[in-house]
Amino acid sequence: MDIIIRGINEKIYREFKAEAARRGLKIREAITEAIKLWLAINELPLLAENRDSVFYLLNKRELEEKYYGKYIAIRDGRVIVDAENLEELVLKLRKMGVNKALVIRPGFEEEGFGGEWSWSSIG
Amino acid sequence: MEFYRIANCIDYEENLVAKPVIEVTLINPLTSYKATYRIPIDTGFAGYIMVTHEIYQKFSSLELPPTSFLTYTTVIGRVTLKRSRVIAKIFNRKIETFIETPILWPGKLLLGRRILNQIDLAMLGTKLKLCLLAEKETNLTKLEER
Repeated sequence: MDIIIRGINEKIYREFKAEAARRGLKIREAITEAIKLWLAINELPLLAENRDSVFYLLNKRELEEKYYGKYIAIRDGRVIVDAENLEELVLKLRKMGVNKALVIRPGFEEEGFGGEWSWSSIG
Repeated sequence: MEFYRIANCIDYEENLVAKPVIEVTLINPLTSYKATYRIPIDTGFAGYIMVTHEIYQKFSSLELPPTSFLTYTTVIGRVTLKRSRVIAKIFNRKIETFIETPILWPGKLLLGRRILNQIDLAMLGTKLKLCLLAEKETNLTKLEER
């Protein structure tokens, strides 16, 4: 969709534009990422307390390019394992003695709206 | 017309009005910890397997980042559920799936449509049984294959 926004702070916009260029992003791509980040942080205060989640969020684009469709485990703010399937990932994590990690398939996970949870089962 | 045979059944749970439940064994893929629960089926819940916080703790070794937590609409507003990858065994069929639990609420046991849409079930209401269906091979289907 196309939108027009008036009254943006010029200095901040210039900085934003320069940073987008440094990252090789088009303005629309950078703004979309920024909006997603803002929404996530706004909705999920848990994120601020979780170093691994913050690492994933900040590096989401790069992780999707590098590990698209694979399984990755993130711990202590870095990717510690990647694997083609869950079984392989679990074996590697067990070998490393890891008992908990953030696990995700970059580019494959659902996000955002999940559907409805009707009244009948809430009570 | 398709024919199905009943592969396995489980009795409804006794209640003021009996409710269909399904026996699900949850397996923590990393620790191999497993436990079996009788979970009410809920066609009104669009998600995966909702569990209580206590159960979630035992199976959440492979949690997803908060950006992949799904938000559901309810009559009292939006509710975001934490999500973790598990193995679920339903009627001897193992599937890689997710458990979910509300971030702020206690949560409860429910089997949502993202799971129900992967299996063929029949509710035999008059017999108070929930049954897994398997396609029945008939002479008709054999003929069609020739």
